Amino acid sequence: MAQIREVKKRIRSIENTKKVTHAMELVAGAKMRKSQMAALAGRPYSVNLGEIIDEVKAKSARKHELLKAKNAPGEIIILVTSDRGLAGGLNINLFREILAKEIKNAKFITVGKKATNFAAKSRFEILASFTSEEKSTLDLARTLSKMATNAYRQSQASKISLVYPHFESTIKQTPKWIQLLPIQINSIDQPTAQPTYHYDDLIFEPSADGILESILPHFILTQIYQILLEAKASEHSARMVAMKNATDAAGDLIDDLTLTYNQARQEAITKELLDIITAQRAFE
Amino acid sequence: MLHLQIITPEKSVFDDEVDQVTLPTTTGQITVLPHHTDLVTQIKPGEMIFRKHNKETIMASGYGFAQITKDSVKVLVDLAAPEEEIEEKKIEEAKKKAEEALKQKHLLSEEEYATAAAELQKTLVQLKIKRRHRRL
Repeated sequence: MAQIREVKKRIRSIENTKKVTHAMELVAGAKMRKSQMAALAGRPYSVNLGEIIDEVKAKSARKHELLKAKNAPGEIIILVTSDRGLAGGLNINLFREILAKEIKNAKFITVGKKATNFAAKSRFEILASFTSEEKSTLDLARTLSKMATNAYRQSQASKISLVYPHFESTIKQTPKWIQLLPIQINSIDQPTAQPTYHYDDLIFEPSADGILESILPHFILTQIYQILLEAKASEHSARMVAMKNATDAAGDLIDDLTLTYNQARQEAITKELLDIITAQRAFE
Repeated sequence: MLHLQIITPEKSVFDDEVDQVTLPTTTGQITVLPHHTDLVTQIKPGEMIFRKHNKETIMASGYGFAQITKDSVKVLVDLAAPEEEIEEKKIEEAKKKAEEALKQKHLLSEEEYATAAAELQKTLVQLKIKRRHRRL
Protein backbone atom coordinates (compact mmCIF):
# COMPACT_ATOMS: atom_id res chain seq x y z
CA MET A 1 0.00 0.00 0.00
CA ALA A 2 2.78 2.41 0.92
CA GLN A 3 4.32 2.16 -2.54
CA ILE A 4 1.00 2.83 -4.24
CA ARG A 5 0.44 6.02 -2.34
CA GLU A 6 3.96 7.25 -3.06
CA VAL A 7 3.67 6.62 -6.77
CA LYS A 8 0.36 8.42 -6.85
CA LYS A 9 1.90 11.41 -5.09
CA ARG A 10 4.72 11.56 -7.61
CA ILE A 11 2.35 11.39 -10.54
CA ARG A 12 0.38 14.30 -9.19
CA SER A 13 3.47 16.38 -8.59
CA ILE A 14 4.76 15.73 -12.10
CA GLU A 15 1.38 16.62 -13.54
CA ASN A 16 1.59 19.98 -11.84
CA THR A 17 5.07 20.59 -13.17
CA LYS A 18 3.86 19.67 -16.62
CA LYS A 19 1.09 22.24 -16.40
CA VAL A 20 3.60 24.92 -15.48
CA THR A 21 6.04 24.08 -18.27
CA HIS A 22 3.21 23.87 -20.76
CA ALA A 23 1.96 27.32 -19.79
CA MET A 24 5.49 28.70 -20.12
CA GLU A 25 5.80 27.06 -23.51
CA LEU A 26 2.68 28.81 -24.73
CA VAL A 27 3.78 32.19 -23.39
CA ALA A 28 7.27 31.85 -24.85
CA GLY A 29 5.74 30.71 -28.14
CA ALA A 30 3.66 33.86 -28.44
CA LYS A 31 6.61 36.09 -27.54
CA MET A 32 8.82 34.12 -29.89
CA ARG A 33 6.66 34.80 -32.92
CA LYS A 34 6.67 38.51 -32.22
CA SER A 35 10.38 38.79 -31.55
CA GLN A 36 11.33 36.58 -34.50
CA MET A 37 9.38 38.80 -36.86
CA ALA A 38 11.01 41.90 -35.44
CA ALA A 39 14.48 40.41 -35.79
CA LEU A 40 13.96 39.24 -39.37
CA ALA A 41 12.30 42.49 -40.45
CA GLY A 42 15.24 44.51 -39.16
CA ARG A 43 17.92 42.63 -41.06
CA PRO A 44 17.61 44.27 -44.51
CA TYR A 45 18.09 47.72 -43.02
CA SER A 46 21.37 46.98 -41.27
CA VAL A 47 22.74 44.94 -44.19
CA ASN A 48 21.99 47.70 -46.69
CA LEU A 49 23.39 50.35 -44.41
CA GLY A 50 26.59 48.35 -44.24
CA GLU A 51 26.77 48.23 -48.02
CA ILE A 52 26.41 51.98 -48.33
CA ILE A 53 29.14 52.55 -45.77
CA ASP A 54 31.38 50.16 -47.64
CA GLU A 55 31.07 52.33 -50.70
CA VAL A 56 31.42 55.64 -48.92
CA LYS A 57 34.43 54.38 -47.01
CA ALA A 58 36.28 53.54 -50.19
CA LYS A 59 35.72 57.05 -51.50
CA SER A 60 36.43 59.10 -48.44
CA ALA A 61 39.82 60.72 -48.48
CA ARG A 62 40.12 61.10 -44.76
CA LYS A 63 40.06 58.05 -42.59
CA HIS A 64 37.34 58.42 -40.04
CA GLU A 65 38.22 57.99 -36.40
CA LEU A 66 35.74 55.18 -35.89
CA LEU A 67 37.21 53.19 -38.78
CA LYS A 68 40.83 53.47 -37.67
CA ALA A 69 42.48 50.93 -35.47
CA LYS A 70 43.54 52.32 -32.11
CA ASN A 71 46.55 51.80 -30.01
CA ALA A 72 45.10 51.33 -26.59
CA PRO A 73 45.38 48.68 -23.92
CA GLY A 74 42.62 46.15 -23.51
CA GLU A 75 39.28 45.65 -25.10
CA ILE A 76 35.64 46.01 -24.19
CA ILE A 77 33.17 43.21 -24.60
CA ILE A 78 29.44 43.78 -24.60
CA LEU A 79 27.77 40.57 -23.53
CA VAL A 80 24.09 40.17 -24.33
CA THR A 81 22.08 37.46 -22.57
CA SER A 82 18.59 36.99 -21.20
CA ASP A 83 17.42 38.20 -17.81
CA ARG A 84 15.79 34.91 -16.94
CA GLY A 85 16.84 31.31 -17.13
CA LEU A 86 14.96 28.22 -18.22
CA ALA A 87 16.08 28.73 -21.76
CA GLY A 88 18.08 25.57 -22.28
CA GLY A 89 21.75 26.05 -23.10
CA LEU A 90 21.34 29.53 -24.52
CA ASN A 91 23.32 31.50 -21.96
CA ILE A 92 25.66 28.68 -20.99
CA ASN A 93 26.83 28.37 -24.58
CA LEU A 94 27.71 32.05 -24.62
CA PHE A 95 29.67 31.79 -21.39
CA ARG A 96 31.56 28.76 -22.62
CA GLU A 97 32.45 30.64 -25.77
CA ILE A 98 33.91 33.47 -23.73
CA LEU A 99 35.81 31.24 -21.32
CA ALA A 100 37.26 29.27 -24.23
CA LYS A 101 38.86 32.43 -25.61
CA GLU A 102 40.78 32.99 -22.39
CA ILE A 103 40.37 36.70 -22.53
CA LYS A 104 42.78 38.89 -20.68
CA ASN A 105 42.63 42.58 -20.14
CA ALA A 106 38.99 42.90 -21.11
CA LYS A 107 36.24 44.93 -19.53
CA PHE A 108 32.62 43.95 -19.77
CA ILE A 109 29.40 45.76 -20.40
CA THR A 110 26.65 43.31 -19.59
CA VAL A 111 23.08 43.24 -20.82
CA GLY A 112 20.79 40.83 -18.98
CA LYS A 113 20.98 39.55 -15.41
CA LYS A 114 22.59 36.27 -16.44
CA ALA A 115 25.47 38.10 -18.08
CA THR A 116 26.00 40.27 -15.03
CA ASN A 117 26.07 37.26 -12.73
CA PHE A 118 28.47 35.43 -14.99
CA ALA A 119 30.89 38.32 -15.30
CA ALA A 120 30.84 38.91 -11.55
CA LYS A 121 31.43 35.24 -10.78
CA SER A 122 34.29 34.96 -13.26
CA ARG A 123 35.85 38.08 -11.76
CA PHE A 124 35.82 40.11 -14.93
CA GLU A 125 35.82 43.85 -14.66
CA ILE A 126 32.34 45.23 -15.31
CA LEU A 127 31.99 48.75 -16.68
CA ALA A 128 28.22 48.83 -16.69
CA SER A 129 25.34 46.43 -16.57
CA PHE A 130 21.82 46.65 -17.85
CA THR A 131 18.80 44.43 -17.68
CA SER A 132 17.04 44.04 -20.97
CA GLU A 133 13.67 45.01 -19.57
CA GLU A 134 14.27 48.27 -17.78
CA LYS A 135 14.24 50.33 -20.97
CA SER A 136 12.81 50.01 -24.44
CA THR A 137 15.09 48.22 -26.86
CA LEU A 138 15.78 51.38 -28.81
CA ASP A 139 16.69 53.39 -25.71
CA LEU A 140 18.98 50.62 -24.56
CA ALA A 141 20.63 50.52 -27.97
CA ARG A 142 21.12 54.30 -27.85
CA THR A 143 22.73 54.15 -24.42
CA LEU A 144 25.02 51.30 -25.41
CA SER A 145 26.13 52.89 -28.65
CA LYS A 146 26.89 56.14 -26.85
CA MET A 147 28.96 54.34 -24.24
CA ALA A 148 30.84 52.33 -26.82
CA THR A 149 31.54 55.29 -29.09
CA ASN A 150 32.72 57.48 -26.24
CA ALA A 151 34.97 54.78 -24.84
CA TYR A 152 36.52 54.27 -28.24
CA ARG A 153 36.98 57.95 -28.99
CA GLN A 154 38.70 58.39 -25.64
CA SER A 155 41.04 55.50 -26.39
CA GLN A 156 39.88 53.36 -23.50
CA ALA A 157 40.02 50.25 -25.65
CA SER A 158 41.56 49.08 -28.88
CA LYS A 159 38.59 46.98 -29.78
CA ILE A 160 34.95 46.79 -28.80
CA SER A 161 33.05 43.64 -29.56
CA LEU A 162 29.64 42.21 -28.95
CA VAL A 163 28.77 38.66 -28.01
CA TYR A 164 25.18 37.54 -28.40
CA PRO A 165 23.08 34.51 -29.32
CA HIS A 166 22.48 34.78 -33.04
CA PHE A 167 19.06 33.71 -34.15
CA GLU A 168 19.29 31.13 -36.93
CA SER A 169 16.05 29.26 -36.51
CA THR A 170 13.63 28.29 -33.78
CA ILE A 171 15.72 25.30 -32.84
CA LYS A 172 19.15 26.76 -33.51
CA GLN A 173 20.85 29.72 -31.88
CA THR A 174 24.59 30.09 -31.98
CA PRO A 175 26.87 32.36 -29.99
CA LYS A 176 28.32 35.04 -32.24
CA TRP A 177 31.10 37.61 -31.92
CA ILE A 178 30.83 40.89 -33.71
CA GLN A 179 33.42 43.58 -33.82
CA LEU A 180 31.68 46.85 -33.20
CA LEU A 181 34.63 49.21 -33.23
CA PRO A 182 36.72 49.84 -35.26
CA ILE A 183 33.90 49.39 -37.72
CA GLN A 184 34.07 46.41 -40.01
CA ILE A 185 31.39 46.16 -42.60
CA ASN A 186 29.20 43.18 -43.36
CA SER A 187 29.45 41.89 -39.87
CA ILE A 188 25.81 41.50 -38.85
CA ASP A 189 24.84 39.00 -41.42
CA GLN A 190 26.32 37.32 -44.42
CA PRO A 191 26.75 39.91 -47.14
CA THR A 192 24.35 39.55 -50.01
CA ALA A 193 25.86 37.59 -52.85
CA GLN A 194 26.04 40.49 -55.32
CA PRO A 195 29.36 42.28 -55.40
CA THR A 196 29.49 45.91 -54.33
CA TYR A 197 30.36 48.12 -57.24
CA HIS A 198 32.93 50.82 -57.06
CA TYR A 199 32.24 53.49 -59.59
CA ASP A 200 34.77 56.19 -60.20
CA ASP A 201 32.21 58.89 -60.74
CA LEU A 202 30.29 58.34 -57.53
CA ILE A 203 28.95 61.62 -56.17
CA PHE A 204 28.30 62.48 -52.54
CA GLU A 205 25.99 65.12 -51.25
CA PRO A 206 26.94 67.02 -49.15
CA SER A 207 30.36 65.27 -49.04
CA ALA A 208 31.80 61.84 -48.40
CA ASP A 209 33.24 62.98 -45.10
CA GLY A 210 30.01 64.64 -44.09
CA ILE A 211 28.05 61.51 -44.81
CA LEU A 212 30.53 59.32 -42.96
CA GLU A 213 30.32 61.61 -39.95
CA SER A 214 26.61 60.96 -39.58
CA ILE A 215 26.28 57.47 -41.02
CA LEU A 216 28.89 55.76 -38.83
CA PRO A 217 27.35 56.52 -35.43
CA HIS A 218 24.01 55.63 -36.93
CA PHE A 219 25.42 52.34 -38.15
CA ILE A 220 26.69 51.45 -34.68
CA LEU A 221 23.30 52.21 -33.22
CA THR A 222 21.54 50.14 -35.86
CA GLN A 223 23.91 47.26 -35.33
CA ILE A 224 23.38 47.20 -31.59
CA TYR A 225 19.64 47.55 -32.02
CA GLN A 226 19.54 44.65 -34.45
CA ILE A 227 21.61 42.51 -32.10
CA LEU A 228 19.31 43.20 -29.20
CA LEU A 229 16.40 42.10 -31.38
CA GLU A 230 18.26 38.95 -32.41
CA ALA A 231 19.05 38.15 -28.79
CA LYS A 232 15.39 38.55 -27.84
CA ALA A 233 14.28 36.26 -30.65
CA SER A 234 16.90 33.69 -29.61
CA GLU A 235 15.90 33.85 -25.97
CA HIS A 236 12.23 33.24 -26.58
CA SER A 237 12.89 30.54 -29.16
CA ALA A 238 15.28 28.73 -26.84
CA ARG A 239 12.85 28.95 -23.96
CA MET A 240 9.97 27.71 -26.07
CA VAL A 241 11.96 24.67 -27.18
CA ALA A 242 13.30 23.98 -23.69
CA MET A 243 9.82 24.14 -22.21
CA LYS A 244 8.41 21.94 -24.94
CA ASN A 245 11.06 19.34 -24.17
CA ALA A 246 10.27 19.58 -20.48
CA THR A 247 6.56 19.10 -21.13
CA ASP A 248 7.23 16.09 -23.33
CA ALA A 249 9.57 14.58 -20.75
CA ALA A 250 6.97 15.08 -18.02
CA GLY A 251 4.42 13.27 -20.20
CA ASP A 252 6.76 10.30 -20.66
CA LEU A 253 7.44 10.16 -16.95
CA ILE A 254 3.74 10.20 -16.14
CA ASP A 255 3.08 7.32 -18.56
CA ASP A 256 5.88 5.35 -16.93
CA LEU A 257 4.68 5.99 -13.41
CA THR A 258 1.08 5.24 -14.28
CA LEU A 259 2.18 1.82 -15.47
CA THR A 260 4.04 1.23 -12.20
CA TYR A 261 1.02 2.42 -10.29
CA ASN A 262 -1.35 0.07 -12.09
CA GLN A 263 0.99 -2.88 -11.58
CA ALA A 264 1.30 -2.17 -7.88
CA ARG A 265 -2.44 -1.86 -7.50
CA GLN A 266 -3.07 -5.12 -9.34
CA GLU A 267 -0.50 -6.82 -7.15
CA ALA A 268 -2.25 -5.62 -4.00
CA ILE A 269 -5.61 -6.87 -5.26
CA THR A 270 -4.20 -10.28 -6.15
CA LYS A 271 -2.58 -10.58 -2.72
CA GLU A 272 -5.81 -9.75 -0.97
CA LEU A 273 -7.68 -12.30 -3.07
CA LEU A 274 -5.09 -14.89 -2.20
CA ASP A 275 -5.57 -14.17 1.49
CA ILE A 276 -9.32 -14.54 1.26
CA ILE A 277 -9.17 -17.75 -0.74
CA THR A 278 -6.55 -19.29 1.55
CA ALA A 279 -8.64 -18.47 4.60
CA GLN A 280 -11.73 -20.01 3.00
CA ARG A 281 -9.83 -23.18 2.04
CA ALA A 282 -8.60 -23.55 5.64
CA PHE A 283 -12.17 -23.76 6.92
CA GLU A 284 -13.28 -26.46 4.47
CA MET B 1 12.61 51.80 -64.98
CA LEU B 2 14.11 52.31 -61.59
CA HIS B 3 14.18 49.74 -58.87
CA LEU B 4 13.13 51.54 -55.72
CA GLN B 5 13.64 50.08 -52.26
CA ILE B 6 12.50 51.90 -49.16
CA ILE B 7 13.65 50.25 -45.96
CA THR B 8 13.13 51.25 -42.34
CA PRO B 9 14.53 49.48 -39.28
CA GLU B 10 11.09 47.92 -38.75
CA LYS B 11 10.41 46.61 -42.21
CA SER B 12 10.87 46.89 -45.92
CA VAL B 13 8.22 49.45 -46.85
CA PHE B 14 8.47 49.42 -50.62
CA ASP B 15 10.28 47.26 -53.14
CA ASP B 16 9.24 47.62 -56.76
CA GLU B 17 9.96 49.18 -60.14
CA VAL B 18 9.01 52.84 -60.57
CA ASP B 19 9.40 55.48 -63.29
CA GLN B 20 10.73 58.31 -61.17
CA VAL B 21 11.43 59.22 -57.56
CA THR B 22 11.60 62.56 -55.79
CA LEU B 23 13.56 62.66 -52.55
CA PRO B 24 14.02 65.34 -49.88
CA THR B 25 17.78 65.56 -49.34
CA THR B 26 19.75 67.81 -47.02
CA THR B 27 20.90 69.84 -50.02
CA GLY B 28 17.40 70.20 -51.47
CA GLN B 29 14.78 68.19 -53.25
CA ILE B 30 16.02 65.98 -56.06
CA THR B 31 14.18 63.98 -58.66
CA VAL B 32 15.77 60.80 -59.87
CA LEU B 33 15.11 59.37 -63.29
CA PRO B 34 16.61 56.21 -64.78
CA HIS B 35 20.31 56.49 -65.76
CA HIS B 36 21.07 58.87 -62.95
CA THR B 37 24.68 59.34 -61.92
CA ASP B 38 25.74 57.27 -58.94
CA LEU B 39 25.04 59.24 -55.84
CA VAL B 40 24.97 58.81 -52.10
CA THR B 41 23.06 61.42 -50.19
CA GLN B 42 21.37 62.20 -46.90
CA ILE B 43 17.61 62.32 -46.48
CA LYS B 44 15.79 64.72 -44.19
CA PRO B 45 12.12 64.76 -43.20
CA GLY B 46 9.97 65.65 -46.18
CA GLU B 47 7.94 64.13 -48.96
CA MET B 48 9.08 61.16 -50.97
CA ILE B 49 7.14 61.00 -54.19
CA PHE B 50 7.41 58.21 -56.68
CA ARG B 51 5.53 57.66 -59.86
CA LYS B 52 4.66 54.49 -61.71
CA HIS B 53 2.51 54.54 -64.84
CA ASN B 54 1.36 58.05 -63.99
CA LYS B 55 0.21 56.90 -60.58
CA GLU B 56 1.78 58.99 -57.88
CA THR B 57 2.48 57.76 -54.37
CA ILE B 58 3.48 60.05 -51.54
CA MET B 59 5.22 59.05 -48.35
CA ALA B 60 6.46 61.03 -45.39
CA SER B 61 10.14 60.40 -44.76
CA GLY B 62 12.26 60.69 -41.64
CA TYR B 63 16.04 60.98 -41.44
CA GLY B 64 18.29 58.63 -43.34
CA PHE B 65 20.37 57.94 -46.39
CA ALA B 66 19.84 57.14 -50.05
CA GLN B 67 22.03 55.32 -52.49
CA ILE B 68 21.32 55.93 -56.14
CA THR B 69 22.77 53.99 -59.05
CA LYS B 70 21.96 53.90 -62.74
CA ASP B 71 18.93 51.66 -62.32
CA SER B 72 18.19 51.51 -58.61
CA VAL B 73 17.39 53.73 -55.66
CA LYS B 74 17.85 52.48 -52.14
CA VAL B 75 16.39 54.61 -49.39
CA LEU B 76 17.19 53.85 -45.76
CA VAL B 77 15.15 56.02 -43.42
CA ASP B 78 13.90 55.84 -39.85
CA LEU B 79 10.38 56.69 -41.00
CA ALA B 80 8.50 56.03 -44.23
CA ALA B 81 4.79 56.53 -43.80
CA PRO B 82 2.45 56.24 -46.77
CA GLU B 83 -0.18 58.97 -46.75
CA GLU B 84 -3.04 56.62 -45.94
CA GLU B 85 -1.20 55.13 -42.97
CA ILE B 86 -0.68 58.44 -41.23
CA GLU B 87 -3.01 58.73 -38.28
CA GLU B 88 -3.60 62.35 -37.66
CA LYS B 89 -4.59 62.07 -34.02
CA LYS B 90 -1.58 59.99 -33.09
CA ILE B 91 0.79 62.33 -34.89
CA GLU B 92 -0.84 65.37 -33.30
CA GLU B 93 -0.18 63.82 -29.90
CA ALA B 94 3.41 63.01 -30.77
CA LYS B 95 3.87 66.57 -31.95
CA LYS B 96 2.57 67.98 -28.68
CA LYS B 97 4.85 65.68 -26.73
CA ALA B 98 7.86 66.76 -28.75
CA GLU B 99 6.99 70.44 -28.36
CA GLU B 100 6.54 70.01 -24.65
CA ALA B 101 9.91 68.34 -24.38
CA LEU B 102 11.56 71.14 -26.32
CA LYS B 103 10.12 73.76 -23.98
CA GLN B 104 12.07 72.28 -21.10
CA LYS B 105 15.27 72.84 -22.92
CA HIS B 106 17.39 73.38 -19.84
CA LEU B 107 16.42 69.97 -18.45
CA LEU B 108 17.48 68.02 -21.52
CA SER B 109 20.87 66.77 -22.48
CA GLU B 110 22.14 67.80 -25.88
CA GLU B 111 21.22 64.42 -27.28
CA GLU B 112 17.71 64.35 -25.87
CA TYR B 113 17.13 67.78 -27.31
CA ALA B 114 18.27 66.65 -30.73
CA THR B 115 16.02 63.58 -30.55
CA ALA B 116 13.01 65.67 -29.61
CA ALA B 117 13.72 68.19 -32.35
CA ALA B 118 14.04 65.40 -34.91
CA GLU B 119 10.80 63.90 -33.66
CA LEU B 120 9.05 67.23 -34.09
CA GLN B 121 10.31 67.62 -37.64
CA LYS B 122 8.97 64.19 -38.54
CA THR B 123 5.53 64.87 -37.10
CA LEU B 124 5.31 68.21 -38.89
CA VAL B 125 6.06 66.60 -42.23
CA GLN B 126 3.46 63.91 -41.70
CA LEU B 127 0.79 66.42 -40.74
CA LYS B 128 1.64 68.57 -43.72
CA ILE B 129 1.24 65.70 -46.14
CA LYS B 130 -1.95 64.46 -44.57
CA ARG B 131 -3.65 67.84 -44.48
CA ARG B 132 -2.67 69.15 -47.85
CA HIS B 133 -3.85 66.11 -49.72
CA ARG B 134 -7.14 66.05 -47.94
CA ARG B 135 -7.97 69.52 -49.13
CA LEU B 136 -7.51 68.62 -52.76
